[in-house]
Amino acid sequence: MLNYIKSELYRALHSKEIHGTAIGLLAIILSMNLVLFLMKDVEHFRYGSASFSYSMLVSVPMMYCYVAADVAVMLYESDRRNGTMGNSIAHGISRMQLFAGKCIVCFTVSLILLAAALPVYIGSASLLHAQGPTTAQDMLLEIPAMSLIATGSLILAVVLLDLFQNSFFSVLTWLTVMLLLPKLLQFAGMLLPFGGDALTDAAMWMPANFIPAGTRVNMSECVTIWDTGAGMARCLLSGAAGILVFGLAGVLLLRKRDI
Amino acid sequence: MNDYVIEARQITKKYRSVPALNQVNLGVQPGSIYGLIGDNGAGKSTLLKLLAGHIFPTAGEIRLFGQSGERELRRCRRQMGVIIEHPGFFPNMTVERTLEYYRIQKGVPGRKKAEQIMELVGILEKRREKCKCLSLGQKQRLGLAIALLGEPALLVLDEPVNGLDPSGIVELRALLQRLNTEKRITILLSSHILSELQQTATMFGFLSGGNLLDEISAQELREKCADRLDIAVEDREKYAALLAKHFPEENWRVLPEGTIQIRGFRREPGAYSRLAMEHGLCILKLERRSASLEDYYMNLKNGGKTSC
Repeated sequence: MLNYIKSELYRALHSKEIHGTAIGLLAIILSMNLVLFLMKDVEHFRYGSASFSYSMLVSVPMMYCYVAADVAVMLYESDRRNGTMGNSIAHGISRMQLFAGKCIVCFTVSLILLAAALPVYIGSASLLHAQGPTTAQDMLLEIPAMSLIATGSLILAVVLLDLFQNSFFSVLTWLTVMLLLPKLLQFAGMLLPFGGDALTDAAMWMPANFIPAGTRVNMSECVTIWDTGAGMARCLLSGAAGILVFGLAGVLLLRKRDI
Repeated sequence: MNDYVIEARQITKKYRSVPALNQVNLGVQPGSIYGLIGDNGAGKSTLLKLLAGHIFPTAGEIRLFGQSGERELRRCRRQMGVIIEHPGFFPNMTVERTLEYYRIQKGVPGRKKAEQIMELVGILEKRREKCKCLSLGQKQRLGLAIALLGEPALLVLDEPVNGLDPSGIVELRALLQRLNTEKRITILLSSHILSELQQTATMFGFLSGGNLLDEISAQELREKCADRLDIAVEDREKYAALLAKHFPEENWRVLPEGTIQIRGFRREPGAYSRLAMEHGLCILKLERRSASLEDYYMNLKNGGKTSC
């Protein structure tokens, strides 16, 4: 499996799509902070602060999940169609090794992208006014809080891409599981006459529900769910559960699958 | 039985309830070039996919290098090079990066190895081109290069001449024969081009409708597909009687359309026409025919068993 991971990292690091994503991310961050920097001394312009810049990411923690899933799509959307997955299996790599290898590679690439983007983000934001409620610390704490949730979402993306040949359908299913299903369960819990509370409680462990409920980030306040120990624990437990559930789904669905 | 490189025992594969292979038994001996023959949908690709581990059998057992069981088969597959249906690669990667990727994946030491393989299969000059820009024949060569990385002991090739130009076919044939004789690589290949297989393979397996109709060595095929003479005469009953009387050792039969066919004839063709003329029979047709793998296959498919 180690050879498979090494070969996949070789491919990822030579992939134009990954280079493009890295450049795109950096360009978005830099151009956003550059515009804020150029506007910061304009009269009545309230957004030329590092706080506003950080709040762009702190207020949307699911961004980590989107980027991680995007990495999986870029690397593996055509793995079956191209016949490259078949080649790897024919070389004696098991489906489970492929699954685990893909998850590790996606995680590593996501980490590399984060490592490239973060210093640029903080560095360029430091040129802005140092005022407002959201700090670099809020953003840095967001990373461990979202790390397991993003890893779980990445595993789900790998499972779905392996399961369906159609990447559009995979992405649609990913969005349904990550965003729509938690809301549906929450509403179902509210409507059910019996057992609804348990369902609502379960739904409130899903990131798409409990993160927005515990996060308020704007120009006057920055309340994040990971501020408290309990909130941070909820993020980590929810992420660990996601890794377990989606990992298990991958094992069960892909272990004996014909390609 | 244990000295087979590939052995399929009672292999059945069903897609939902539709059988693609039905209790197939097949054995490929070490050092042989095994040609798998069959129409579209006969089950060739299904069988090759089972060997490569792409799909799992519904019933039966596959043994590679004498080993069975999932873990052992995976280990054995490291000694296999495979192209099934179409060569697998990343369209946006260059040829040399693709080979470097597979070199790392197969754990082949030495960066020069990829270059040597490119030279061997004749795509060295295309090394900096993206895979998607290659012609069909070049893609086949790249697929073969990937399969050859790591010096496999067994090559499994599905339609390897697909898309190759005539000189490419000749080169590939020579390459496969060289790999087989010099490196003792066992090769299992399928092809629609039976004349091509006849020149390459040392053993043939015939698949039809998911059933293995027959396995035959090239030597047996040569014996079974001996030259034959088709003779049409005015009075075939009389000529048949003459044949039985004057040339009793000849093996002949009357074909459905009335032609008399002599298989593996022992005299020069003029002797048969003279026999007719000396007894006042007019020869309508006398044709010498060499049977081919195609004839054998068609005969087998149409229900014949032992001859062309």
